[in-house]
Amino acid sequence: MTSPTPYMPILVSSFSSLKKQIKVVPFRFEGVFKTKGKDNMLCTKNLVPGEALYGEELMRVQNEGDITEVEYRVWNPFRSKLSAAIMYGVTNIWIKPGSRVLYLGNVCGLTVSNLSDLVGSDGMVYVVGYIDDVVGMAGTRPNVVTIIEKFWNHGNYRMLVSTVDVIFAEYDRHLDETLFMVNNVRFYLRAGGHYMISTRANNLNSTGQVKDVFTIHFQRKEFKQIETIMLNLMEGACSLVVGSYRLLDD
Amino acid sequence: MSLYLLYESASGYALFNCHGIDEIGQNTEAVRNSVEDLTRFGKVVQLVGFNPFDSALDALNQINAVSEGQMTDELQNFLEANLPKVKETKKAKFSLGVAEPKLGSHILEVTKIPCQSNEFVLELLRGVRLHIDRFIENLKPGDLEKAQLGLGHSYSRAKVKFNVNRVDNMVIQAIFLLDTLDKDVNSFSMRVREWYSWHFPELVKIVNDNYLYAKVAKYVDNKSELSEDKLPGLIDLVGDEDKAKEIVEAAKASMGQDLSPVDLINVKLFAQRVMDLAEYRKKLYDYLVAKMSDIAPNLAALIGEVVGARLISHAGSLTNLAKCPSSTLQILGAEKALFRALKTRGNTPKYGLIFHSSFIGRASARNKGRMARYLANKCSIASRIDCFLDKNTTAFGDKLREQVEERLDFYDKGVAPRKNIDVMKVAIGNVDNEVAGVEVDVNGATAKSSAKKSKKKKSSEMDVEELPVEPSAKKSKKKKSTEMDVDEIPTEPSAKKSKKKKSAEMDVDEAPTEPSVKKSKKSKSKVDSVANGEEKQTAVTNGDGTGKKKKSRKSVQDS
Repeated sequence: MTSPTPYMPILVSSFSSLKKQIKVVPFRFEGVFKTKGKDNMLCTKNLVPGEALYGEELMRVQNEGDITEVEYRVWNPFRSKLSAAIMYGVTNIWIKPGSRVLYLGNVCGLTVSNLSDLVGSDGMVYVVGYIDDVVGMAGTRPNVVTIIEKFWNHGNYRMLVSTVDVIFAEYDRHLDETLFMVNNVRFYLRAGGHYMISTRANNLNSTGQVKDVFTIHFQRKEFKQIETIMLNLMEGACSLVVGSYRLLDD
Repeated sequence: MSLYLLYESASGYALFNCHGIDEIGQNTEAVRNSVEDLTRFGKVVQLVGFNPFDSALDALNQINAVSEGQMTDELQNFLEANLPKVKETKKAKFSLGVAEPKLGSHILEVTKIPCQSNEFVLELLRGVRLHIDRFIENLKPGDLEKAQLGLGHSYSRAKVKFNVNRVDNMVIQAIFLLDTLDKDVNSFSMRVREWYSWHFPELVKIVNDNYLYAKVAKYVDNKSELSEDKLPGLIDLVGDEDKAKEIVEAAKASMGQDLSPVDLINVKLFAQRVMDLAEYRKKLYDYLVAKMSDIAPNLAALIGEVVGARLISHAGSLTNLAKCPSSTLQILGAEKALFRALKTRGNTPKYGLIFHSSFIGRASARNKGRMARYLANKCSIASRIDCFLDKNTTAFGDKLREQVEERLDFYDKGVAPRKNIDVMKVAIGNVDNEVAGVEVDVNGATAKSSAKKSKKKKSSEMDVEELPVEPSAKKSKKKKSTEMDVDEIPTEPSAKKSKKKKSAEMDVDEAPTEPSVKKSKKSKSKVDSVANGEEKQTAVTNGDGTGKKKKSRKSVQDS
């Protein structure tokens, strides 16, 4: 009768006619795959087979030599900034199966679900933000810890977060919240870990380059900017800054 | 000076002692280097004690306290048990490192343990966080993550104020089920009628109601056994003596064929099923009404429970309904007609699900569209109030309903309705009164006593103004008819006289809520309330004229 609410898991079985023609190959990073065939779509292996949370397409691919089927979820680059970054050619995302990720700021549920697929059942995704729908999603995914808190109260959730390998953040107002981000980094990011921050690209300086907000404001040797990717998505220009924290010079 | 470290984890509290400080000094760089290597770090920092949380509820309490920077009793006991004793007069010879200075200052206040939380401590804590699962032997790998998962979930839920009673999903499911049940009961009833008509065809024409038919079929059983002595029972069932006699007569001259006992038993069983389903449907309807009054009382008061539930289920949830503009609410349910009209550039529909509320039916054909728009606006207001107001009250819904009625009257007879802002003021006043603990009572005596009791609760100063205010409080509680009884109270005769009968109710509402609104605004401190009481007293007793003048002035503004 009525269409279901957007965040209720919809059981989808993809009897798409393209099923036989789809081939899914690993793409550049561990845990990330790409479809080969008519469309080149980025996808991740579905942690909870049969569930397409945000209405995306599920691909079922036959394993070679096996009769088992593996299911992959399409990762939409228009809705998820991390996916866009991968498509735009970021050198390294530093997230692989088994890693721990802390996701802060303007949390996008879609990205959370794909991150949870990426890190697999060994890794953990800690999501900090005011996101009602993700709390529901976390019920089916045992590697997502949802914390409904503002990320600038970094002490409040210190009981819930272990040391993470990667901090992934999306926020708009870069200046005010940088300080709070730094506190998060200093509490939870391990030495040698990396951070990825996605902001609106209006913090370009006069030469048109995006400066890492950390390296500007904190002239320490702890934060080292590795690269910047411009994401020209549909809604507006965003940029993703990748950096490392206390990289040991071994 | 030895340094201890307090580390809070999802599984419990842990206390560490830092031994090798003298080696590395208070140098953060050195700490950083030693952190990486577990063996080196293990020499620096050693576990003194670990206190696991008793239960999930205990853990939730602890995290709530920790996030506010407060120390709980469990933490205090743990610290006092594991740290060396602090003598009253002497300065402690150790210090406790904590992650947050706020917690540290609270610990210092209560237990006199000196705390510090500087960069040095933070570096050490980083190391602890990295290696925590190896410090504590009882923790198997994965235990900590599970604890974090569970604790994070309950913490988030508490933050979102997850109230089990206000889950709108129940209403959505209930209304779906109600529709399905209706269809099913109808089709089953049709089947019973057909089946039993093989045996007793005339009964179909005599008894029209489905539920009643099933009952009668079950009672009559074999029509050849139907005789005069079964007549009283039949009259009880049907309710009508003539009908019962008709049934008996028809049974004697019936054309239907005989059924074997086995067949009759089956028909009876099925008839019983239909009756049970019909009864369940009634119970489900009552459940729906109860749930609607829990989650969306104002919407239910305005347009009724069933229409309200349908709107909510169509929108998907109460929050979705609250988010959509009132024009959408007006045509919810008529999407097919809407998009067809938009495509062919015809006239868009005027109403969707809203049509089934009673107001649209009562409007004349010319005004149906206008009523629909007005009603949709009010429904939007009601749904937003329901979604975001924590209090559970129908005050707004009732007032909105009155407004819609007034609108209807306006279209019918041209009677000017009240201004919205005034009606809302009254509604807010009513809500405040409800909160103050005055109960809604129907007759005067109990209202009087309950008003008295609740006034005593507030403050003794309020008792002074009890007498004049109490009858007005009584009045403000009653809704419609009984308010006429209160007319003889002398405090406001002029106000009554100067008004037409229709708006008398409004005026009576207006006047007492004025002092109560004042009360609720000013009654922040006792001093204020005293002043208020005195002022009220002087206003009413001293200058009866002034008191009335005030009120009549206000009411002139209204009309």
